[in-house]
Amino acid sequence: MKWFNPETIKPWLLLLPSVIVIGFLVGYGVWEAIAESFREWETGKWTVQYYEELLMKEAFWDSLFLSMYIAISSTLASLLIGLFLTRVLQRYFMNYRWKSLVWLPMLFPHFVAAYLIILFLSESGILSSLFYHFGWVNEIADFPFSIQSQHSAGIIFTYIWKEVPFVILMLLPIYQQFSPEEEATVRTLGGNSWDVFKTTEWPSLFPVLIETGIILFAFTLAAFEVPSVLGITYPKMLPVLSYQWFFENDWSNRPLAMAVMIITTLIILFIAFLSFWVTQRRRMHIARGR
Amino acid sequence: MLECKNLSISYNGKKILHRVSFRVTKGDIMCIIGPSGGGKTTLLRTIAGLVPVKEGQIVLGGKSVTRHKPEHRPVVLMFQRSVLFPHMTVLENVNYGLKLQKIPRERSQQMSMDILKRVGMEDYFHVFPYELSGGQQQRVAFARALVIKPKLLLFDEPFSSLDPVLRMSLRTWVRNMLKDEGMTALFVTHDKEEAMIVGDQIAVMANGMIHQTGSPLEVYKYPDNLVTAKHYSEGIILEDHYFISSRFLRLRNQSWQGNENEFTIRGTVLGKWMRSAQLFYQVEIPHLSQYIIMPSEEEVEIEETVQLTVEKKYISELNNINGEVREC
Amino acid sequence: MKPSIVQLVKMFLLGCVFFALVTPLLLLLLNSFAHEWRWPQIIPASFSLRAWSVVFSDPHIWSSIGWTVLIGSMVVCLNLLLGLPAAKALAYYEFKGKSLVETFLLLPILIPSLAIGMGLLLTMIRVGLADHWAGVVLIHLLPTLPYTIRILRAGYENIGAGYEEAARNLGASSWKAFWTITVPLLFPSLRAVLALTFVISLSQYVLTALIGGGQVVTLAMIYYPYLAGIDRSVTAALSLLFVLLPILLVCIFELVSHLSRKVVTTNQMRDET
Repeated sequence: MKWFNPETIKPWLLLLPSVIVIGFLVGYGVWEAIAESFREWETGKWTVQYYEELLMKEAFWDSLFLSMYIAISSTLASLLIGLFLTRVLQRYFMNYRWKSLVWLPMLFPHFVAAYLIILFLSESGILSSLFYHFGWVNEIADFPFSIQSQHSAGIIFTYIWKEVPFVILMLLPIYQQFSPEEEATVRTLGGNSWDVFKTTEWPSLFPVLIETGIILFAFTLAAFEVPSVLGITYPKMLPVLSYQWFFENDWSNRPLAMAVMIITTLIILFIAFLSFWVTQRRRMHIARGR
Repeated sequence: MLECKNLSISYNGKKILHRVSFRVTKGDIMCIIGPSGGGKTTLLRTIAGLVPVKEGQIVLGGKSVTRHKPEHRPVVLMFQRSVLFPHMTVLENVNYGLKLQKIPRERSQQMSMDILKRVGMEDYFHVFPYELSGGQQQRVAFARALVIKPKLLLFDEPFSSLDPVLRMSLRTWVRNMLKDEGMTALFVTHDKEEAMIVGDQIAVMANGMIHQTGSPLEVYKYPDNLVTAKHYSEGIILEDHYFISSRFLRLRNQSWQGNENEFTIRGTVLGKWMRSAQLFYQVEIPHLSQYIIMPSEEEVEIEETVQLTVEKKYISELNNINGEVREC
Repeated sequence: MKPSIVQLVKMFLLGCVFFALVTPLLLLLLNSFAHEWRWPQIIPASFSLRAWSVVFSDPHIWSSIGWTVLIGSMVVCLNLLLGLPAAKALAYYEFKGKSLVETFLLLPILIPSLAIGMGLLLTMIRVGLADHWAGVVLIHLLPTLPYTIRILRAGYENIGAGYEEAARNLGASSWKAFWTITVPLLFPSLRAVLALTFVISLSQYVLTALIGGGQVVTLAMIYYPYLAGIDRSVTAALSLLFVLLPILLVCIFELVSHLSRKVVTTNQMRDET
């Protein structure tokens, strides 16, 4: 009978539209992708041949390692820089002028950010010109830095520029919650500023850092836009590889393309599950303590 | 034990503390009372080392700690909120200060359990703060402060978010605990009764200055300035210059005929109630824009006009009407 | 007061942040007005309005702006329509399975939208949503709706249920209470949703290309070929368009709200937050 209590079903009614839309798009989309990756494209018979084929391909493994490398390094760098800047400059960022300024990179689409990196860091970019004026290079070919070859630095720089503001905006609300009383308590009990960070800030920051990290990791691992502008021809990042196979002349590689994205999905879900599981216990006490 | 000499603090050109000087002897509890915004919290934060001192000196146990960092001062500050760390158990919270002093785990745990027993919270040692009531949280915070044996404890309105009954019982409890431990303490409050119950000494503070110090009853009976009369003592203030303590006022009904030795003020009864078997009236004195609470055996009704009388010899003069700083 | 070393370091960092945030915008502006700018010149040798006149005289670009704004606005509206009730439910109600729903609503952030788009393509073709703006709008909900729900939920939690209840208590209908109390108080969150959702929608290249099949030509579709080309000035001008469109939209939104006099309180709130 409880089910018919209007107060019990009201939140569900409010949630229903979103749940249906997301449930349909995600559920049906993923199901179709899985199904297509397990079906022979001509006959429609169930098979695991595409996964076997994929795991034998060197191109796939190279792409996987490149993608993991780029996603992990740009995520960690963004988190560290974001945390550092928020901590040191929080007083300024809480002023709404600075806050609006921090929003600025959020307004740039990722492919525009990639273009900015070309303007700044490419061989004929503005930095190269500056180097010439400092007398460090004499011609374009001398510029020591290449956005494409140097460990995909161009892609990583683009993500850092775009995601550090995101990290700051995720962390700021937490810093707004801290009261001077917490710092005062640790200090008068004999702690130095490192103890203040460890006892009062870190327990609240940790779950948010993990959450932000997962969002960034999932995005950078699976996003197409930036690597398609700044990436090299071999190896490609996973989504670029998948997209290429998806649109190859005949449709014979489509199941393979699906399989790539399914594996990407599994990696993300596995890491997300792992980190949520790690933070679960701590999160509970903090949430109730406030 | 604690001595502040000419402490002055300014922030953005505004004077928060102005030449504050006072001393507290070892084992004494001094209550600082006054209106909010008067600099009480800043004073505590300054003594704790959280506000840098440009002018003046803080001496603790014969040594100047004016330039010491907060973690190197034998001082603990407690707040209205208990500020227990939400991710640590009660025992871990109490143990925190000892752990920072690198006291061996076994001994520190023993010390923490002992102090938890003293505050009657030993059964909750493994519990997380969110499971405790407000009063219990304050007790644990108190234990956490006591266990590192500071020379001085500072309280910033520690009970003001608790309900009145709990508040009443914690006041005497804290006082007894402090006395048992022989602890020196500064206790900020805006509640007169609380100040009188907890304090051995009273300091009345407003506008960043200390206006009067002394024993709770002395200061109550003999306020020597306007600020003290207004914020701590009870009575009627005339022309910002004369003070009639409530102790000498009598409430009479309208028909009362006074003699020439008496001074009479008219007022209106706004409310009446019983408390501790005594009838009380809240009386408004319209032409002075003041209210006063009077105990009386007279039977008068609400909105009735009454007379407040005092023998003229009990009208005292407030000596520094501007509330200027007195050099100690 | 003498600045300490810590203060100086902070100022230096702040300068770096300012530089990193603002120079890209300046560089794009400079580039879009540059007539001749060769390596290793620090500043263009000469300026002209050529790039902008190219951009504004090209009918393809005009129509792509139209499609971009149409799709973006539809995405914003759908986000608000779906997100407001969901956010309210998550902010004000406690119920069984709440954390499960929360996780579920976050899935589009975790699961690559490219995988979902590829999976949906065949079905979209079958029901006629592929190669159509409606299909593109639908697929743009994936990278936007989770953020919308998140932002609005935080907004709802910030205000608390009290004000709306008070309004209902004073005799307002739920519709009236929503417009007179919730919307003005939620204004900062609504503005954030508007900006973010619109920006995300207009930065979708691969999803739009996939579902739109080259038939739905948004600004991103026009932009990509330019990235490979060598006309830096036009690319810079187009890049600026991407930034200007959401700013313009937010300005219009602010203006409309000001005219309807609903932001009296929010201006005061902004200084506090």
